[in-house]
This record gives sequence, structure tokens and C-alpha cells, in this order.
Amino acid sequence: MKKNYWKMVFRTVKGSFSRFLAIFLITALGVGFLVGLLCTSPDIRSSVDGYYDEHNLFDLDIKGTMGLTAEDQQAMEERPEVEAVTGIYQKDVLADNPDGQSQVARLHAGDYAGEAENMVNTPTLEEGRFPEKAGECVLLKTPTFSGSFTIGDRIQLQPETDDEELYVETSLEIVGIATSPLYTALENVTSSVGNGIVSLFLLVDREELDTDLYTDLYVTLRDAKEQFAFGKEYETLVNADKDSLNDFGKERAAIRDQNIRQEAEDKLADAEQEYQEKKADTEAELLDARKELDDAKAELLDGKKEIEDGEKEISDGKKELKEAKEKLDSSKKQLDSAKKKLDASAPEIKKIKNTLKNKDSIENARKQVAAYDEGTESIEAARTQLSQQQAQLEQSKAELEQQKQAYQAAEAAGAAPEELAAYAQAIAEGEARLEAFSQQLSAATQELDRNQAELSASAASVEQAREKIAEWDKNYNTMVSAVNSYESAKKKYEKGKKQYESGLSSYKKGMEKIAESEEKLEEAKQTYADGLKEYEDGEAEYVDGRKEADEAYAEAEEKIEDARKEINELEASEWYILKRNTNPSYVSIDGNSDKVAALAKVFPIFFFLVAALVALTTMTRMVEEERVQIGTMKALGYSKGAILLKYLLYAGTAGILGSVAGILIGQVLFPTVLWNAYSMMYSFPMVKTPFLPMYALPAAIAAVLSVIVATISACGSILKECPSRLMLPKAPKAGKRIWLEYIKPVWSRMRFTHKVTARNMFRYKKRLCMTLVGIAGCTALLVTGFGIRDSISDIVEIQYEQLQKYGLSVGFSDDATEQEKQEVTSYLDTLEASYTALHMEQGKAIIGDQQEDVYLDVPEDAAAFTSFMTFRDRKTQETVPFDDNSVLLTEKLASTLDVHPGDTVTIENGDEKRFSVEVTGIVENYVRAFVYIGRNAYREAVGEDADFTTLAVLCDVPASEEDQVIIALHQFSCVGSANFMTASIQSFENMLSKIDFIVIVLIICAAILAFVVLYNLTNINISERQREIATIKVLGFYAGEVDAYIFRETFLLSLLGAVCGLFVGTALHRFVVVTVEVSNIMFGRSIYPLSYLFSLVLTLLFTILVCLALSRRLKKISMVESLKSVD
Amino acid sequence: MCAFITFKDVCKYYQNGETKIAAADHVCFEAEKGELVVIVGPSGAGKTTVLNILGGMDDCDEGEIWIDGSNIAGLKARQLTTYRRKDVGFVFQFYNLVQNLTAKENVELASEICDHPLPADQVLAQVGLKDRMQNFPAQLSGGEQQRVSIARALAKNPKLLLCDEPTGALDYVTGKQILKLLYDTCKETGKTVFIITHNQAICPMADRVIRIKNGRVQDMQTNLHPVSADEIEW
Repeated sequence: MKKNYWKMVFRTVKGSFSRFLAIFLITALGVGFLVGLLCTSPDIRSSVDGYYDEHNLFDLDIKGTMGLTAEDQQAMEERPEVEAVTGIYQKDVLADNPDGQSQVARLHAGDYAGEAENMVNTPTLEEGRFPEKAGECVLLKTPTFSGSFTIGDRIQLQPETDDEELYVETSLEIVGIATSPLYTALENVTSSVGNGIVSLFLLVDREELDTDLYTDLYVTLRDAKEQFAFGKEYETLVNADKDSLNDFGKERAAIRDQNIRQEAEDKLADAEQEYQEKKADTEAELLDARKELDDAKAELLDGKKEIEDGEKEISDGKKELKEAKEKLDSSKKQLDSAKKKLDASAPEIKKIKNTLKNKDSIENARKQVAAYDEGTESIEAARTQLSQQQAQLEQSKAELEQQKQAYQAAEAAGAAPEELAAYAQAIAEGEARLEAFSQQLSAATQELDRNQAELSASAASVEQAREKIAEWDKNYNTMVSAVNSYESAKKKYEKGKKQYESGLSSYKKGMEKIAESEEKLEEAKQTYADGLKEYEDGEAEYVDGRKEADEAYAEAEEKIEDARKEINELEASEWYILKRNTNPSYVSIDGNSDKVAALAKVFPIFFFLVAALVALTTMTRMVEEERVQIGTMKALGYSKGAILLKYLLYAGTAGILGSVAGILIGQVLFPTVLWNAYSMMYSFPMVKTPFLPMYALPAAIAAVLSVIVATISACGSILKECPSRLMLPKAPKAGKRIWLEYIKPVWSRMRFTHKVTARNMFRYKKRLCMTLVGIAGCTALLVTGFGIRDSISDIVEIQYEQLQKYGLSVGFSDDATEQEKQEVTSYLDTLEASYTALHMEQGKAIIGDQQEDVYLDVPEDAAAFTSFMTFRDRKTQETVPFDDNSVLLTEKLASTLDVHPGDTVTIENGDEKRFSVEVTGIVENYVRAFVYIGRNAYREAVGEDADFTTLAVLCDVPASEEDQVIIALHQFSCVGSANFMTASIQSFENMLSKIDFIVIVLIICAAILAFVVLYNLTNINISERQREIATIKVLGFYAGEVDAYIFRETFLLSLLGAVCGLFVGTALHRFVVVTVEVSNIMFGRSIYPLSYLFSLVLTLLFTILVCLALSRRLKKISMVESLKSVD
Repeated sequence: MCAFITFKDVCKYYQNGETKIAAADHVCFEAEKGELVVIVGPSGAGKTTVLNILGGMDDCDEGEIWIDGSNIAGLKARQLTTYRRKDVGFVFQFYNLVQNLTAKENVELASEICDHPLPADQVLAQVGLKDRMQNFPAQLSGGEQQRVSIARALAKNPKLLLCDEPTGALDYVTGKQILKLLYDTCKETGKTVFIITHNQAICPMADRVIRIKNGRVQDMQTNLHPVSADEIEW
């Protein structure tokens, strides 16, 4: 082409830049929107896949019902399909909250210090270091984490609520802060302790928990990383490996079972032995006690006998004493009478005695007599003796003479002098003695003679005395006998008296003795009583001890029995192999990106349609404006093609540039913006937005093509005309009557200016069409955006306020007893709650090959349950009857399975038992899929009654106190789970806030759409009608009136388009909702009137904004224009 | 000051780069009520500027413009609009009818906005279009369109009628008919009619002729014996 041709094209662009910009913008919008939405899903998925690979997110998570051992881990590592295995002990515990309440902390115990970088689910340290010993922890920053801990803070763990006693340290120091690929989603992680929601995630060293077991083995699979985590190949690979590991798990579980059984049996044996030993000890103790008691008893018996003996003795003694007393008394009497007698005879005896006192004189007389007699006799004897002595003297004289002769003879014989001297001396001595003797004899003869004389002098008195003695001797015997008998009587009396006194004193002594022994007996009795009491106490104690011991035995035996039973009932342990679909972020990323992808199917259609229309109208106007130029060129000899090319180049360039801009902006902006909306839910790094030609190129080509087609059709008619006619100014489009004018009642009542508007509106059908489509699209986008929000808030409002009225569900553990349940219900009574029992299990609903996961709810009392749950039809709002024989399916489930009332559906319950039931009704429901079965229907189908282990509780607890209620409920050992619906409501409300963002994006897009369309069209309109506007200005229309004159059309068209948009939006909303909703949730189908109103108002607001922007342009139109000639 | 319309030293300048060009340079003239005034001058003499200022479509930089006792110089845009709306009827060279409206509707377009409009039917009959009232402009000839334009100006019952080259786009015969209509209107209704033209031939029919050249009033004459439009030739 010629240089000037290009100059012309370039100048056209420059001269009509706003027009060029309109095509550029609308193409950019359409392409950007489409490419953006198309790329978002793959971008997010591949970014997340990259993140997972980088952080070794597990492919499989193995949990064992009995825990897993290091051997299990080792065995896993040796499996060919396994790349790496990390064992973790996971435990949910209660920790002190800074504000004094408790919060749930999840501990992950593992060897972080040693192998953090090589671990499956590699944690990324942001600060500090990994824990190296007990008492240290690393805090995980998760999207749900809201606390403000820093390194060095301490977390105080509360005592373990279960009996595991695993803690080593109860105060954990934060030594680091990290992120983990396990917790990347803003979704509450539920727990069975505390308020049921984990709020702290802590990594601790294995030493922190005193166990050798693992709760989880996180496994990465060989070759899995190379696969796209959200792709089919990955799914296939993981499923295959899971199957093979399942079999392996069975082997390992069997080994584990054996070990556990062995361990339990050993323990049981130990316990039994211990029990036996203890029992023996106790028995021996008891036996000793018995013996002691028996001894005490025997002693007591002896004591008793002694007491009895003592008592007898005392009574005997008393009797004896009594007898003695009696005797004493009689002897006293006797004594008294004897005394009387004695006293009576006493004076006579005294006389006698006086008489007898003369005895001495008698005696003297007697002695005188005797002495006289004796003297007489002794004189006689002395005379005899004296004569004998005379004879003796003569003899001694003769001997002395003999001796004198012997001396003379010896002297004469000359005997030795000395002998002679001895002789002489003996003779001298003899002579002396003879001499003394002769004197003695002469003295004795003299005395004898004198005594004779004396005697003879007393002879007379002696005679007198002899007489007196004779008389005495005659009376004496009588007197003596009288005195004697008195004396003897007296003596006898004295003796008797003495005897009596001694008897009395001995009696008294006896009495004293008895009193003494009585006292002693009392004492003994007391002692006995004490002893008895002691004994009885001892006995009672013994009985108690016995009883206690027996009870203890029984208990211990029961325990042992239980333990044995438990061993017998030991369920085979099992491996649960979980895939990534248990990881909330994996699931929700997948779901959320699907939703975005689904949106990409619908929304861009509008923009393409509008882009084509914008191109069409713009180019049409442009061609019309350049009519003369085209004619001139034609006349100059340019071919049709060359002329067309100019416009194709113009529009095409705008389209291509727009597409490029759209791709550049859209592929980055949309994934980033949507990702930012999601990023508050996830802790993934920034999304990567690579250029994805497979999405970008088709979108760009489609956009450019539609612009080109529009341009060709705009040029078509003009190019056919001959140059001469083109050279003439185009006759203004003739005014025409419109159909409205023929409806007289309407037309005649319309204000004049409105008539003008009406005519103008119908004058350019293409523009009318484009405005309608553009504005309808804008409104439809808004309706859809608000509607999606409504649909989700419907879930909360209808599901949790109208349908499911109960706000709390309490699940009992399987072994809960009636009494335990009663405790729980009486607690619930204190909350003034009402409740009803349910059987709840997860199962499947099956029709043919199609099966859906469902919850089976079997209420104990169907009638009562209807006040906890509203069963109604969504469309008619009529109550669907429910009784013990009913089977109700929730709406979405029914429509997925294409089931209608009267159809039969196969249900598989939690025990994988299948049964068929006839559906009696379909009910409105938004969250999850339920099959409500009456208990009779259930019993008939299954063959046994359901066990009602869940309570649906209707209570009025303020949200702030729910935690306390949950904690209180978990205090009951029989409560397995307790959940308020608030958590679900919360997660839907979270969802709402994400949707809010999408709504904002939609509003912005709708606004851009409205602006581009309205601005472009009104702009064309104004430039086309410049002269008319100038004229009415000259005619004296005020600025406002001029605006109204032009914009009334725009406004009316907008209104019309908006109303259409409401309908289109309703349909679009329905489409989006059905596409976007995930399997277990049904979004609300209806849009609130307020949303329609908002959409309408927003659309009109956009229109007003466009009008305001263009009003300046209207003002700028000079009245002088009216004076100029027609083109 | 007693004149119905008085231009007193009206100046209008246009800035063109460095130089300031006076489009109207101390323009002074006056006209009485009921007069037919012709402003004549060659192209570029400044007559359109005078028309614009007189019609309230533009404001002047200096001077006073007295219309029926009030000065419109220095009025705000809105006040000028009110002036146009109530006091001025405008007839364009190219009729400037709204294509999308019928003849009657075009008249109504103007009468709708003023206080004491004349009935559209009556005015259209007055300009001789009684039978063409329901026609769209495209269905009317140039003369007829100009009549509609005049009717539209008259319907507002203005104080003065401004006609910008009313015959410029018409053939000789039709042009004369239109001039006659304007003359008759002036005489019958007693309205002040300004005809701005480069055509000197029209001058004889005027009560007052104002000649403008180079932005100045060259001279102003009153014509005591104006001739009928029929007698004018060009």
C-alpha cells in the first residue's frame, strides 16, 4: 500500500481516538475476562501443585486404629511404591489461653530437629529453630491462627483429659515459627476435645510425648510428584498404590494385633498375679485379725466367768457372814445372860473370897506348926548328926595320931627332910582342922540346946494353931469349890466374850473383804464391758474389713474380667489410608478452581457479544462519517478491498491490541485478584501466572474475528453504493412514525418530549439492540453476582434457621449407658433445651450404577422430630409429611439420582448393609445429602431397630457461651461429639465473604461494560445529533433540558435493558449456581427482591454516571454549530 | 436609551495565537419595536458575531446591549438561555428542523418551553402549512421547511425574530416567498425582525439597514419607505 494510505489510516485512528479506544477496551475486557477466568483455575492448580511438590505434601496419610509402630514405618519405607515416610504422633490437647480460657492445641510430635527438610509435609521455618527437646515447640502459622505469640513465649498445657499421660513437659517454649503444607486452608480443624476447634498447631519434639507409637504415617509415593496433583493420572497412581498398600496394611495390622493381644494378655496375667498376691496378703491380714478377735473373745469369756465366780463367792461370803452374824448374835445373848448370872453371884463370891483371904494366917499357922514339927525333927536329926560327927571327930583324932606316929616313924626312919616337912605340915593341918572341928561340934551342941529351949517355949501357941487349921481345913473345900465354880464360869464367860468379839471382828473383816471384792468385781465388770465393747468394735471392723476386701476382690475380679473380655473382644486393628482429599486445602482448591473454571464458561459470552456490537455500531458510524471520503476514494479508483482494508485495519488493530492488552492484564489480573480473594483462606505463596497460549490464543482469535466480522458488515452497504451517491451528503434518516403512535391512548397521553424520546429510541434499531444487550448484560452480571450471594446466604438462613432448627448435635459414644445419657440430658435441661434422639450414620444412596454419599437420619420419634426439622417442598413451601414409615430424600440428592416419590432407592448403611426403601417424599435441603427414614421403615428394611445415639438439641445459647457448653458436654465421658451448627454457619459466612469479592469483581466488570457501551453509544448519538442539540440550545433549552432531551433516551434504554437483564440474570444465576455448587451443597435457587433492586439501581447509577460524564460534552457543543451548513 | 434594542460599543475579541482579533469592534446601533432590520455585510465582516451576541448565543467582551429595557451584556449562561427562550425566535439558514419530528412537533418543540406560546396549529396555518402539519421534514420542500422553521420561531411569541440568511439555502422564488412571509409577519404581528444577510438586495424592504464591515458598523440608515418583498430582485 502506499505511504499516504497508511498515513490516512493512522490519522483516522488519531482523529477518532475515543472510538478506537472503545473497540480496544471492549475487546480487552472480553478477552481479559475470558482468558483471566480460563487461566485462573489452571494457574491456581499448578501453583498449588508446585507448592505441594516443594513441601512434600503427603500423597497418603496412614492412620492405624491402634497406632502405628516404628516397625510399621520401616516396613513402609521398604515398599517399592513408597518414596518417603514420616511418622508423627498427633495429639489434641487443651492449652491455657492468654485470656484465661482454654483452647485446643494440636501437637505434632516428630523428629523435626533431625530431619525437618526431608520430612513429608516439610514445614518451612520462618523464624527461630525447630524443637530439639521436650518443652520446646514451633508454632505453625495457619490461616486460622489469630493469636500473637512470639519466640520465647510459653504455652501452658492443661492436664491431659484422657488417661494417656503422655506429656513430658507441660510448659512449651516457642522456639520457632513455621508454616506447614498440612494447614493451608482457612477451614476450622475439628477436634474431639475442648470446644471442638483446634486453634493452635504446634510442632514438638518426639521427646515431648512419652510414646513409641505414631498416629500418622505420612507417605509420599514414588513418581507422584511428577504428576499434576489435580490430574487424573495422579488420581490413578495414588489409587493404585493405595490399593496395594491396603493389602499391606492388613498384614501389618495383623502383626500389630498380635503384639497388642500379647501385650494385653501379659498385662492381664500380671494384673491377675498381683491380684492374687494382694488377695493372699489381705486374707492373711484378715485371718490375723480374726485370731486376735477370737483370743480377745476367749479372754473376755474367762473374765466373765471370773466375774461370775467372784459374784458367787461374794454372795456365798455374804451368806456365810449372815450366818456368822446370826451365831454371834445368839452367843451374845448367851453371854449377856451368863453375865447376869455372874453379876448376881459376884457379892457372895466376894465374901467368900474375903474369907479366903485369911488363908495366909492359916498358912502361917500351918507354917508355924510345920516349922515347929520341922524344928523338932531337925533337932532330932541334928542330934543324930552331932553324934555321928562326934564319932567322926574321934576317928579323925585317931587318924591324926596315926599320922603323928607315921611322922615319928618317918623321922625316926630318917626320911628325907622334905618328905618329913610335908608330913609335918599335913600333921599340923590335920591338928588345925581337928581343932576347928571340935569347936564346931561344941558350938552346934550349944545351938541345939538353945533351939530345944525355944521350941519348948512355943509348944502352946502351936497347939492353938493346930486347932484353927483343923477348922479351916474342914470349910475350905466348899468355899474353894464355890469360888472355883464362879471363877470358872467367869472364865468361861470371859472366854465366850472374847470369842464373840473375835467373831464379831472377823465378821466385820469379812464384811470389809466382801465390800472390797465387790468393788473389785465392779472394776472387773467395767474392764469386761470395755473389753467387750472393744471386741465388738473389733468385730465390726473386721466385718467391714471383710466386706471391703470382698468388694475390692469383686471389683478387681471384675476389672480383670473386663480386661479379659476386652482382650477377647479386641477388634482387629485396621489401617486407614487417606488420600489428599482429607486435606481441606487440597479439596477446596480443587473445588474453588473448578468454580472459577465454570464461571469462565458463561460470563465472557456477554463480553464477546457486546464487543462485536460495539465494533459494529462504532464502525457503522465511522463509515457513515467518512461517507464522502469513501466516495472520493472510490472515485479516485481505490478498490473496495483497499477501502475495506482501512476499516479492517482500524478495527482489527483495535481488536488485536485490545486482545493483547486483555491477555496481558487478564491472565495476570484475574488469577491474582481471585487468588487474593482466596488467599485469606489459604497460606499459599503467590499464584504464578504464566502465559497459557492454549487459552489465550483462541480467545484472542475469537475476539478479533468477531470485530472483523462486525466491521465487514458495517462497511458492506456503503461499499455497494456508487461513488456519486456517496459524494452527496447522506440524507438524514427520515423520521418515521413508530408503532407506539398508533396506540392512541398511550401516545396522546405522553408528554411531547417523551414522544421525541420514543421516536428517537426506535430510530436506530442497531443501537437500541446494542444498548439493550450491553445493559442487560450488565444487569444480568449484577443480578448473578448478588444472586450467588443470596444463594449462599440462603444456605445459612434457610438451612439453619428454617429447616434445621436444632443448633446443637450431641453424639454419644457407642458404650454410653442409659444413666450416662440421663446425666447429659439433665445437663441439657439446665439449659432449658429440648432434644430428641436420632440414629445417624453415613451411607450411600444407590440407583443403578450411580451412588451418592448420604447421611441416614432415623429419628426415634418422628412426630417430635418434625419440630426440630422442617420437611417441606421448596417450590410450594408445603409441609411434606414424615412419620415412622416415611422415607424422605433431600432435593439435590433426589435430582442427582432422578428419584421421585414412589420410586424405590437402594440404601447402603454404615455397616455396608444394603436395603431398598420406597421414597415417600422429597424435601428442601441445602447442606449435605440426607435420607430421613422413619424408625419402622428402617426396622423393616434393615431387620433391626436403630440405636439412637445422637441428640438433636434445640436450645437458646448465645454464641459467646457455646464454647462453654461444648466443653461442659465433653466433660461427660459418654459424649463422643458435640457440635453447634455455628461452625458450619461460620464457614458458609466465610464463603459469603469470598463471594463478596467475586461480586465486587462482577460489579466492576458490569460497570466497565455499561460504561463502554453507554458511553460509546451516547457519544455516537451526540456526535450524530450535534446540530440538533445546537438548535435546541438556540431555541432556549436550559442545560438540564438539553441533557434530559438526549439522556432520557439513554436512560430509558438502560431501564429497558436493565429490566431485560433481570430476566437474563435470573437465568444466568440459575446456570451459575447449578454449575458452581459442589456435590454436597445445594445453593439457594432464588434471588432476593433486594438483589434485583440493587442490580437495577446500580445499572441506572452507571447510566447516570455515563450521562454525567457526557453532559460536559453536551455543554461544549457550541450553538454556532447550528449555523453551519450540513456537512 | 429609549430605543427598543440598543447596541452600545459592543466589542467581541477572538484570541488567535499572539494576535487579538476584534470580531466586533465597538458596534453601536439601535432598532425600534416592530421594525424589520437588515444587517448586511460581506462574509467575515462580523455580522454573525453580532447575530450571536444579539441572539444570546454568545456574550460580548465590552459594551451594553439593551433589549426592551434590560441589558443582556454580562448575563450568565443560564440567564442568556432564558433570554433566548423567552425573547428570541431564531430562523436558521438550513432550517435546523429535527428530522425525527413532524412539522407540528418541531413547532411544539419550541412552544413547549416558553410561557405564552402561540398554538402550533395556528402558527403553522399562518405560515401556510395548515395541510402539512403531520409531515416529517424529509417530506417537505426547502421552502416549506423554512416556513416550519419560521413557525417554530413565531410559536414562542418572541420579542424579536432573528433570521440568519433565511434565503441562503433556497431558490430565488422560494426565497422571495420567505422574505415576504417575514415582512408580513413583522408588519402583522409587530415583532422586531432582524434579517442577517450578505445579500444587499434585501435592503430595500427593511425599515432599517445596518451595514457592517470589518467588525464595525459602517453605517445605519432608516428607510422610511420600504418596498414589499415582491419587488425585490437579485
